[in-house]
Amino acid sequence: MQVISTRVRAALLATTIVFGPTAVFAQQAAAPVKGGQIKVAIFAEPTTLMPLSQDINVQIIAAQLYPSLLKFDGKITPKPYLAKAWRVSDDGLTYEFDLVETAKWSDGKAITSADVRFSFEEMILKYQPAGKSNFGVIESIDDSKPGTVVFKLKRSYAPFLSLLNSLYAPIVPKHVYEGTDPMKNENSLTAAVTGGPFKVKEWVKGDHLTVVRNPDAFDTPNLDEMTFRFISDASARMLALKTGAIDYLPPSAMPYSSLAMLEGDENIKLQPIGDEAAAKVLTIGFNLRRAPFDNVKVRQAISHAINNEFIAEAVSFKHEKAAVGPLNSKSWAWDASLKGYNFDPELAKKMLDEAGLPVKADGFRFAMTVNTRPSVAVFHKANEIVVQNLRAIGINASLRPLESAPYTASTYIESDFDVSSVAWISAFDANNLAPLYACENIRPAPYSNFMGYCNKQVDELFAKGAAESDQAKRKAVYVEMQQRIIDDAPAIWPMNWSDWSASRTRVQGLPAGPWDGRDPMDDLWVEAK
Amino acid sequence: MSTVPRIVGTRLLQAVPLLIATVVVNFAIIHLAPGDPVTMMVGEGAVSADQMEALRESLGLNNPLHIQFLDYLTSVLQGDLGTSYVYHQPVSEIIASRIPATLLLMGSTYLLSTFLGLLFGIVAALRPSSLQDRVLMTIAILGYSVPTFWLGFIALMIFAVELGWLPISGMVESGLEPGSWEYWKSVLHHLVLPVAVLSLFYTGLIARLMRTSMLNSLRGDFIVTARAMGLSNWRIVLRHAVPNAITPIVTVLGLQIGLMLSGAVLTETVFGWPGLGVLTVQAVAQRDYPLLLGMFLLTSVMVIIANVLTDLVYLAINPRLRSNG
Repeated sequence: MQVISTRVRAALLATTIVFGPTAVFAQQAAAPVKGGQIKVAIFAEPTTLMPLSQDINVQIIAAQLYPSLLKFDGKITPKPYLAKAWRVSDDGLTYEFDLVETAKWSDGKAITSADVRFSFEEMILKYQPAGKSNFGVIESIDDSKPGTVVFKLKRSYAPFLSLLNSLYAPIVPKHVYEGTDPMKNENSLTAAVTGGPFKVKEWVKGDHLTVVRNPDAFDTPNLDEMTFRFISDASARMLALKTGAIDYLPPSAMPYSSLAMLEGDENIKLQPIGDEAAAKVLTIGFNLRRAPFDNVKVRQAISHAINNEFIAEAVSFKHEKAAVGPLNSKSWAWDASLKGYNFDPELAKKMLDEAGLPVKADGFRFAMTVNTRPSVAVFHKANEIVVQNLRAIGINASLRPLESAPYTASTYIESDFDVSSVAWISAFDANNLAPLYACENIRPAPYSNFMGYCNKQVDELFAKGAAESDQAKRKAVYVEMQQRIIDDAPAIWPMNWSDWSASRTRVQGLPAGPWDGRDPMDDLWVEAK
Repeated sequence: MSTVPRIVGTRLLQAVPLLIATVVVNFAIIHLAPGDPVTMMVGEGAVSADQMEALRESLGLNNPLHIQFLDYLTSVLQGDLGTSYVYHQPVSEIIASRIPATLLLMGSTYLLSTFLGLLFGIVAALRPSSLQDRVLMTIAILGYSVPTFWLGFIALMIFAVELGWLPISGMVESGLEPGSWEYWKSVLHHLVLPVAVLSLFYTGLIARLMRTSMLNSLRGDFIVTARAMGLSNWRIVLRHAVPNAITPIVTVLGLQIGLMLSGAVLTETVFGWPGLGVLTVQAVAQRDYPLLLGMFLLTSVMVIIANVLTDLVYLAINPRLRSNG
């Protein structure tokens, strides 16, 4: 039901762009209303207003303040934004974008191709942690015509357009940031000079931040005003939504337990965001540097011992299905032909016996610890079940609860763990599995290949898939790659994992992109009360 | 007459090594905790080991720990608490911006619960084991022992969700002119629930202490004398029993003042109150060393100041200390 409404809205949005705002669709939905204001809950005060920040609360607000070349729906269909039109050369090496001529920064200066070039070369590539891996493929940027920016790529790179969103590629004013340290620049604290649909009106420290429609923007939002309230407790956020003190909870602010409690409230609309694009998989990875997890037979045996269906049902309050492999089954690159591991504890025991790990006198084969983060409900609940499943086949497993900083350190930096859990958003392009499964990404840094998994054939398939532009051929490559990863079992994949947003029913046109609500909310509108 | 300056002087002198010890211990604890601010800062997205190394270098985290400590101590002695890793703003500014909210919440709670706690304690002690004593002490024990975050949610469910009388979160409605009448009305409206919940805890604590202390005091010989002199009951209680009973309470109240600026972490979280408690929790999660050290230092200084103040109050209410020095 909710999925359908997302699609209808995406279709509506697309049609509105083609036929202009006068098109009438009386039967499907009311026309967007101009004006009005809403309150949005985020879970902490933004640490800055610098759009390249890694703080999700900053990113949600910055997407309203700064433009990007394109914006996207839940299917990652690129839509005009700061770029009103674009052309891609046949060889896939040249991308040309025509900017909206009337686009201006809030201090009156025009937004030109020089700002775009500066944002990529001096900001994104230098200061965004993911900048080099996302845009290292850029050979050069031509800003000789103010209204047109031309990217030359080193090689054909299929995901390129999909990365030009407000999260990965925000455009900032060159004349404000040139020659400064962006984090210390005054504008990063005040966002006085912006060019997006909204601008900052007030920021009451620790309490809320209000943005209002930017009258000079190239893109006119429907709403007059949005207030972001900082509510750090998940239950308090949910109660605020229930009473109407808050109108919208972006997905990052919504655990499954809140979902279960909001269900059935007729004033509340729940929807999974990003459709297929934001879909994640709960990934519980082995430390392949350690015995006995360096033995593929042991990993396969454990894969058979984990009751994925039960985990999916219990953890998500029946909102998710068990996963098969590293990609969410909503992804275009996933295929029903993929063969995973059925739940079969007896087979698991037999395989462990054969691998030379029999039950010893103390009743166990060997001992292991399961890294878990109690503050992330999905990890913690799933790992509790994993431990029970492991003990049932004679492995002396115990939970190792860690707070976020030591968790990140033990998982990614020190490689001091037996198994550890991560959530991986990769569905919108299967190439995004590379940071987690490609050999070159084994390094002591966050969001890398923490398992130490390396299969040259998988690496070759990653390269082949990224260079291929035909979608059907790409899919064939990625299906083969997924099956190889599944067979190697570097991780177990108990459940598909989507993020849900919750809103009062009067709120329409919520961001449908895959980035946890870190998309422009310019199409958002509210029904008159 | 010179007793007061002498005592204050001694206490302040004693505070200097105490403060230095506090800074050393705080610094050690924070750096001994596992986890690294740089990994928390870079967030998601593939980042190279070189980038992380550069960031670590720029924050001075590659220096030996004793060098880092000396750098920190030098700047603290010059009044510079450093720059937050996460907010990129001076720590002193960030803390200062949150002090008013915490002071408002804790100050209101402090005044209300001191008044109610003393009142309940006195009333209960006047007639031990009576109905009024039992009712008041049951409330006090409940208030003192029920977890405030749980009570906070129950209060939210009743007064904000079901009855809709009070707001659910935050300190003020958006869009109000700061300092205007409407603004303060909104702040007061938001203040009711968190203060009520927190006060129940502190009232319970103070009421129980005051009752015990009052019972002791009422058994004193001087009370018998006062009664024999035919003084009125109220005069005996207010002029003779209460002043003698209050000394141990001052110790507790003094300690509480010291902890006031550390904020009420759980209550602030439940009610979305923009105070120092929530700030500290976030600083811990992000391993924002300078901000955390600043918060710890502030709390330590407050405890030391409160102790000196407590000693002064002792002098005021207990003449014996003055003559003995």
